[in-house]
Amino acid sequence: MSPTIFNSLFYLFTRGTLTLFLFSSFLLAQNQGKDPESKSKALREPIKTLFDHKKHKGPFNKSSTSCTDCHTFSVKSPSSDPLAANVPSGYLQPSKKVCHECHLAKISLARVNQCSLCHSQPEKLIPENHKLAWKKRHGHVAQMEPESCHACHKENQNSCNNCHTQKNTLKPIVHRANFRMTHAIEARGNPARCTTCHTSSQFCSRCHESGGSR
Amino acid sequence: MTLTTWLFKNSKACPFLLLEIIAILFCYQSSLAYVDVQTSTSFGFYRNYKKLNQFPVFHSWSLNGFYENGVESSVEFYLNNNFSENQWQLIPTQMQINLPLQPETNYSDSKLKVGRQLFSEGFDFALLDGLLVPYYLDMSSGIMPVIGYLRSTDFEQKEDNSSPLLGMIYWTSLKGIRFRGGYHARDTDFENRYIHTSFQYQWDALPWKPLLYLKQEFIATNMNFNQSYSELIFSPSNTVETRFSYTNLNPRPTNHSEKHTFIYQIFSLSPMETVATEWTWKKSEQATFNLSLEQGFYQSNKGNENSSRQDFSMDYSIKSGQSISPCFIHMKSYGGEIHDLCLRYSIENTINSKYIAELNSAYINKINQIEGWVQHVRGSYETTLSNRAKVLLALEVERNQYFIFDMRTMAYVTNYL
Repeated sequence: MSPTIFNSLFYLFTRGTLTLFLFSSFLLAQNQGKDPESKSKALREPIKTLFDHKKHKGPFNKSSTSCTDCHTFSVKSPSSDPLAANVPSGYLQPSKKVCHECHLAKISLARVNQCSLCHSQPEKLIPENHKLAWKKRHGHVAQMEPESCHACHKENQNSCNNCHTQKNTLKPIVHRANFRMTHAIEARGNPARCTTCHTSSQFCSRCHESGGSR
Repeated sequence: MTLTTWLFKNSKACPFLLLEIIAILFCYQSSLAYVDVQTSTSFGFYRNYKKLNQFPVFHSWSLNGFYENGVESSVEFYLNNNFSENQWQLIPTQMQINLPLQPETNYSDSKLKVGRQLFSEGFDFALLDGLLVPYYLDMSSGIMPVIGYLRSTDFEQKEDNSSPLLGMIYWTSLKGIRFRGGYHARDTDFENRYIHTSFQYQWDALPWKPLLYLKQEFIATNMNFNQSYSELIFSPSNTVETRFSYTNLNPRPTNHSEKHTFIYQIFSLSPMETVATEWTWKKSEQATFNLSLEQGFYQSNKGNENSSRQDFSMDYSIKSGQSISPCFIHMKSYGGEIHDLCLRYSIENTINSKYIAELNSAYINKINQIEGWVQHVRGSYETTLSNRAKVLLALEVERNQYFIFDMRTMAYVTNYL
């Protein structure tokens, strides 16, 4: 690392840390006693209405799902007396999480938004770590902890492909407006940033050697 | 010719063979499978600066199946065209079959994955035509052999730039330290060999919970350092995050033979180094602020070059469903200087409709003598027609040194079958 870069790095780090300390002390004082997040994951309707045994009979048969896959009967009577009272039926209800055993793992219904089928505010379901600078950080997390992504994003259902391989030139979702006019300055400033995605030598020449008609 | 070389040369037809296999699975086992199909069509019109009419069309189609015994299939392709330039292309972006390897355990991610799939390991981010076998040894460690052809995700190129790849990846976690490393042999006759390692650790007990992430790559033949990425993140509270990063990156085209014609080499004669910091503050559910500063250094044929970038942005929810996001960006490099002001306004009335307007006005001073204000306005309206269909109408207008007035209109229709 050259001295210039080291100096810049040192400057940014020390100045940033000091400012961050003062800034965060101020923020922490401001946020005392506040609930920063609403944890609402409200369902659109009561679960008894959302889930219908009759409607699920077909899918359960197809996926060889048996009664005990959901109703685990894991709660036992505290008494070993064979004549003791039965376990209250409420305890035999499956956990709400059991819906996701299929809906996040086996199947994906053909819908605009799957989560909104049951949840009235799907945006509330976004995990906490997705809310701060996630767009820049998600790549490293996906490399180091892929199983944590797969808990919600089905691996083979275009979770990554939707943004990373589908190059719909009509619908730019990565670059901000005016990028066509300003990209040369950015490319010269940080060519490594461009080559994270554009890994072909012909990428630039397709426009620049054809007179920019595209 | 070795057996491995023969296999590689002949495996290029693999995705198309897989398409047939998946089609057969779909036809014969559809009664046993959950299948969802999504199609999306976009079309538009604009006139380019040569005053030629352009009619681009984009169609994507994806099919995902889940069969008995946990077998999964996935096919996705798109058709892209520009009528006036006659650029029909059928591009398969994903065609894979996943076979579960340890169905009796909880390691549901242990799979044999065959076909075209996204590959992201070390400093590579590309498509793989081949075989990936992630196999969990326990809940937090495993191995993954990989063999196939690596190719760029950029499909518009005419020439084949795929590159053979053979490798092994290992990951584990010990006392909270996550490790992921791999050995890759690639390019013709596997002449270029790399070792990459990544470490991640978070000190939960310390104030601000610092998280350190280090990723390095070495040339395997002589263990010379090739490139690295380092990141240190502080989280003073649930609403504040600060990131410091240092990168030292070398050009990495998918195919090594392109290295000397690669875009990156046109500018930079040395590895690109950057130091950056980014602060994000979520003041409330309504407002989030973000500030990032970056300095870049490299050597070009003009000598030592450096660049700087400052980016301030904010997301603010005015009231339920409405949000406004202004930003200011300043960038300076050998190519010129930009002062960029942007504003994005969106209204999401209900779950079924959404309006977005984006305005961008920048003052540019480029090395090619272009100087002045440039403007770009984009707007869109998206509505859900039914549980299975949505439509998006978009319009964009540009005014700059090339166009006095340039307008495009687009429509996107997405259907879930």
